[in-house]
Amino acid sequence: MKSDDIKWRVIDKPGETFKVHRSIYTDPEIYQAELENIYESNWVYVAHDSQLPNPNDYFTTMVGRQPVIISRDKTGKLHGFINACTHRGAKICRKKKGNAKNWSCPYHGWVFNPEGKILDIKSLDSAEFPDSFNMQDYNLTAIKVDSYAGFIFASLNTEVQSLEDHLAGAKVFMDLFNEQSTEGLEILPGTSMYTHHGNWKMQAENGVDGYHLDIVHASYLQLAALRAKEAAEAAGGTDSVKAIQPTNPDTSGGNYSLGNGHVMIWIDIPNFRERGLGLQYDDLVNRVGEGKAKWMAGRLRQVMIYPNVILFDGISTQIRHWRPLNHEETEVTVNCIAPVGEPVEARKRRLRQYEDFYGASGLATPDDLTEFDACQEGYNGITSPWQDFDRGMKSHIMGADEEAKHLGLEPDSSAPRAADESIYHGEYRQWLKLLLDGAD
Amino acid sequence: MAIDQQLTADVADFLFYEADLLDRRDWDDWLSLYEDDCLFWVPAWDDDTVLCENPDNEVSLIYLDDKNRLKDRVWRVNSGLSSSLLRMPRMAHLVSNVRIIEASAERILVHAKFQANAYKLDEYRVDFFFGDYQYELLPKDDSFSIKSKKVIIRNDIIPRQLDFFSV
Ligand code: FES
Ligand SMILES: [Fe+2]
Repeated sequence: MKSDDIKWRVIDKPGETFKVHRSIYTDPEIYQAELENIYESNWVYVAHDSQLPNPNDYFTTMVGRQPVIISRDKTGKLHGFINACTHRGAKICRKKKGNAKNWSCPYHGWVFNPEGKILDIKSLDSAEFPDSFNMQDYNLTAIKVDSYAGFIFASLNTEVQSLEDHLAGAKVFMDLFNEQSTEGLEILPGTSMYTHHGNWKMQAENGVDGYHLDIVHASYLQLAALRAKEAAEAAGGTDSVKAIQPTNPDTSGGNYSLGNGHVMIWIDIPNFRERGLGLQYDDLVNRVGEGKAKWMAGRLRQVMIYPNVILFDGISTQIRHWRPLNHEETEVTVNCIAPVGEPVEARKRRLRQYEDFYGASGLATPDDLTEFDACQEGYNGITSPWQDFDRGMKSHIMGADEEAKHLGLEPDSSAPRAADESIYHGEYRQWLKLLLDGAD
Repeated sequence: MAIDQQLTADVADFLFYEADLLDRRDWDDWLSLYEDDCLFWVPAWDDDTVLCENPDNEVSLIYLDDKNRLKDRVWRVNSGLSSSLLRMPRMAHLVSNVRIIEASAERILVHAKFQANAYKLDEYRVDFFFGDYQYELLPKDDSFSIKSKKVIIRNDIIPRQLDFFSV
């Protein structure tokens, strides 16, 4: 796409207005440009360390449209490859995950190791290849893979900046997440995938949208309160979930723009001692100190790492990542992540709170997905093409607020409510930058 | 074990009745089939072939550990506050392959297969889940009550929504 076809779709006048044109959610050409310049040129989240813990473990997934293998070699180092045989292109690893000293392609039997090196070509002696043939030209096609605090990212762009530079301010919150246990975090068995009608950018918006909470999730919030009340009165009521109830995002909490499109919201949780980590709050304070413990256990944090993952730590703990299937359909993969070595009761609590709220089988997510559907349909009303992200602009400040300074965080911007829509400026500035970088 | 044909027929009729209550959205009669300390459990899959078996350490899609949690779900449908539940699909549950696994005077373990078809009129879509039902039933009066219902969904990529009435 030409930059002139892209630029006009974002109006960014600091202090005045920030608008996006709704064609960014509906235009198949924009979608193609996003695949090439966002999903296939940048870092995207692919897996957590605990999904391939051992030497010779592998894990298969997608980066944008492309199938990839993430592997751990015998020394523990991570590698990544396009999951296509260098012979005639058959997918080599066909299971979601596994462990193998080498990979034999099921089509004609070429063999590779977890470092991508080709080990054997069947009947090489009788092959009659031309003289220029060199077996080492047939190693698997490597992609970039790196991890931070246990979270693994991949990029199809070999020139991409370092992962640490890319993650920018998000690292502070990834560390906060990871340090909840001295033994790190683990993905719990049980993955769920769901699909929805709605452009992928609605995922990136909604997971840091404090403004919709009491409307879209009114049934959830009322039910959680009712459940707690009936259990307290004991007349037949029970409450094995003890749903967490954050303060009002319209008037409290905050949000940060963390650089490179990453953004986050936070809100305090009055009943945080009912959380998995809250059950051991005193131990946590002893280990990490009051200030950090408050952020880890007492504050809901939803950290959007651009473009395809949100780390949720609030209602329970979830890694939610997605990939676009086309300009109006999205596939989402969700996992519950938990501290290694967590006490049994805390683990149970975490799971029940997780299942209660998250996922397409929970009491909240289907309502979000319904709104994405409604927006995608509404965006077809292109006679009404603009929407603004002006809410909160007056109190949005560049740089760090007091809370950020305490954390040692240097955000691009800070704002004093979780329901501010100025949070999206960071996302869409990055969106525009990446698309313009890749434009003709 | 000889097949107790009368018991099998009675149990099958009970399962068909439950399915029909869901299709007709007769939530109160549906709830009345369940014991107070019932379990309604839909485990998640860990990967292609491994089903999660330990709900205290592994994720479930739905894990409702007493009847109040089933009532929560019905409350949400009736509340009018959930936009996803304001566009209820027209459902038709098909139940078959009903087999008595164990029967005593105290309890009956039953396996069956299901396909739950959903016509989502607001979305112009047809979706369905299929898989296995595993029940623990208690004999009650002339019929049964449900102590536990485990639903194993074999096609577990969820199109937008999975709730108690979807399976
Ligand atoms: S495609 Fe892999 S060996 Fe032929
Ligand atoms: Fe939501």
